[in-house]
Amino acid sequence: MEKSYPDGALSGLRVLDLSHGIAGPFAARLLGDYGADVIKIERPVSGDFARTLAPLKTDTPFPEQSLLFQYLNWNKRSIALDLKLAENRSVIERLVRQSDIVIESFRPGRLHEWGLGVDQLLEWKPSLVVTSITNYGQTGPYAQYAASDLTLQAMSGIMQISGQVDRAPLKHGLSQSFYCAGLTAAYASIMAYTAAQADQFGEHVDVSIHECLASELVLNESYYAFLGAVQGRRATVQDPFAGEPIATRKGYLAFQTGGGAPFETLAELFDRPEFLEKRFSSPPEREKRVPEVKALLEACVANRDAKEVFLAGAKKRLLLGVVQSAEELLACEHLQERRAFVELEHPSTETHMRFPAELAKLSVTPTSVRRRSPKLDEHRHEILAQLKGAL
Amino acid sequence: MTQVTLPLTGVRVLDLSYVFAVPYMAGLLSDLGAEVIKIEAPHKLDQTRGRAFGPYLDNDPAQDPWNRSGIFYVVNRGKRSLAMDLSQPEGQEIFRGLVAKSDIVLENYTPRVMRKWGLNYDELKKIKPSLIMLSNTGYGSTGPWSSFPSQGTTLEATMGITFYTGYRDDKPWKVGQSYPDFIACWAGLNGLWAAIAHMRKTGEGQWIDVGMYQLGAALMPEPLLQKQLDDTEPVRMGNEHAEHVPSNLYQVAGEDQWLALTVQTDQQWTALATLMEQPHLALDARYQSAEARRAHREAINGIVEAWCRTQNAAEILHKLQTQGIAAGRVLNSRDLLRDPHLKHRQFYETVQHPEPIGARPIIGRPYKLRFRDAHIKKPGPRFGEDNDNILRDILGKTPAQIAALKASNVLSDVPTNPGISGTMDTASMLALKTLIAVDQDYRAE
Repeated sequence: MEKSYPDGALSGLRVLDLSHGIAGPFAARLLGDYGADVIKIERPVSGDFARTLAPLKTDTPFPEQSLLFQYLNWNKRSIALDLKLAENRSVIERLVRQSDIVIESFRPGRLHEWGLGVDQLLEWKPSLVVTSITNYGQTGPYAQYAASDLTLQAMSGIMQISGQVDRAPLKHGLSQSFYCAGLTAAYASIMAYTAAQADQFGEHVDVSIHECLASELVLNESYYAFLGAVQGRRATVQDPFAGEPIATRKGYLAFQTGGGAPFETLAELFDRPEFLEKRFSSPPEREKRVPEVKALLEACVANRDAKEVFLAGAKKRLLLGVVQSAEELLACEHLQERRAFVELEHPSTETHMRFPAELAKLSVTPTSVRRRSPKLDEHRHEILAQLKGAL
Repeated sequence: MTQVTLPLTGVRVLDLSYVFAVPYMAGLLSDLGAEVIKIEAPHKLDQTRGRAFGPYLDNDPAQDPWNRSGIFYVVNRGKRSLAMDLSQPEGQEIFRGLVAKSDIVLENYTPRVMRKWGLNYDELKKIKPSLIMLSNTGYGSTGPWSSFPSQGTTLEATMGITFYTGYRDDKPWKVGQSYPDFIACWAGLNGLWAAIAHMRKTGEGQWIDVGMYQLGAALMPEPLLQKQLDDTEPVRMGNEHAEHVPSNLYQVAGEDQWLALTVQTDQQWTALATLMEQPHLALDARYQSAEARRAHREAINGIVEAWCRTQNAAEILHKLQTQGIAAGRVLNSRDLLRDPHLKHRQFYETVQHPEPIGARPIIGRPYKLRFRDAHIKKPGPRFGEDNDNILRDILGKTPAQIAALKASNVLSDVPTNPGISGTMDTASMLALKTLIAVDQDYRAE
């Protein structure tokens, strides 16, 4: 029987979150989910700009409207402090001295201008880990570039290989870059903390959102590095077993071969013996007649519902996906069973909503959501009192 | 003076995994000092060594195609290879011996396989209480879908992101290359590092159960919350942004050249109008506020598009950035390998592989450490390259014992069922434009 540590893997750690937006706060929150005590320092009056990000609950006053802010900042306490002001310096110094990890996402050089550069922070606390999350990293010719999710996806190479050859390159929907970077910054922070614990030597982790995305292109990069091939976008008629969504009567399916996908099963599922013929079952043969294969598959699903085919096929061990929306995820029986969502109360209205919470299950140090996101400056007195006690 | 160390020096990792997500996790751990042993089945080739992914060096499978696949060397850099059959009792016995002398096990078999072999975490923990094990599966080890087969491509649809991706008024689109694998790689590394931190503090190991499917929800809180708030869903809108207008991709001068830009403030709109030499647009009431610009999305896209058509991408990118406007170009694989910024940051590391591969650029890590020297420590292994050394040095097996294991096919230096190999039909791919160039002089890079 395993022991359980409900306080989490990072209990006893203090994280100072100076970041704003999505990537940095998401990283700091993930550390909080593992049990770290996270103090969020926000700009006075307006706070983290994520407090303006949609979806907004407009029946409550600013700065407590953003549901996205709520998602990115639970397990944190908030204090509003202007980092620029000399009068706040001693409080900031004391907070840094009591922290193990600082997460920040200002433009490279900004903290230094305020007298809070990495060297200064490390002087205060030599074993500190400072994680900076910026568009293009701290160094190099693009270090000061402004960016958006779109421009980062463009510059990473992802868009070059996405979309259709005769249409514009295409990006991932929503704001994927920032979440990708948040995931990376969180594990890199714990990694550097682990290293610093071993040798008592701090670290500056310089995370580039752009490089997080470029890191995904392991195939695209090796096409060039190993044979000089530059990938383009997807063919006008794609191999239907390469995951392109295929319309059904209700919803879309994605098919994939690989792992020796059994064409007997497809034949059986759709009652179409053609799939057993070599022209469909052999990859090189199939590649020669893509439109024909695609037409057959489309015909097979035209009068069925996507989810029903997905469930029937997956039970027969076919590699199948079904395109699901937020509504379907919220209703998904599997996510329900895995307890992927937590219900949280809105900080200033009493409404409850379900938020996606757990990434992975850790057998002895489960992640937890211990407190809702803070109102701006909600914990000022508590945090300052704690600092005083420590002196 | 303190000696700065890499966090995984002296740590041994057994990597039983295939394809992208977990192999990449293990590769990234080797960059931080870990000794990673990739255990490959003689009868089941990792797909990244095979035809499905390739690409083979110079598009030539030669005599040993499994040692020539580019993607394999990116994802499996820094590892040693032990080609051993875990489905045989002798293989399982050797594996248990290795577990006793290792710290971390990574695997992505379906939930029933490790149990069938008696190699599930509860069993392995008896051998080594501090052992950390990570299992990555499509749907996790519990729940009604846990035995469903999956790979990244189809999971992208199921996990929700595909629904919000695609051209306006078109079907959902898959974007990038096996995106869920990389999300799983990073999420898995989170769990793994939390477990390592806990183990260093308490001496206690644990098991990490990653189900890739549920990671999608964590990366799309916006529609999940909007749905609950007012029962609406964001629509697919190609490369545009729901709030910022203009924020889109525009074709510029040259062949298939594209510029991305995002205007986030009224001030930036004024700056853009000036750059376009149409300052009156900044004063036009139709475009003066974010809300007004959203109401005239189509007109604004038309104006910016018309201007971009004649512009040189590099020039306007520079001008837009000077004005603080987010701008970027669509870069391809050649552009990326030559990119001055990525060169400056040494994002691609030159790794010396044995001939015929030689020195090749390999993707490093998306972060820099100021004090610690994280780096790719050796090239990815050839199939079974370290069989003899691992069994001799770690388990003290004699040459006769090793020979016996080879005779009974527990251990093999070549894949026993390599499947079909073949060349990539670059000529038809060029005709279809799924490849836009094949450079003969690519090694100059």
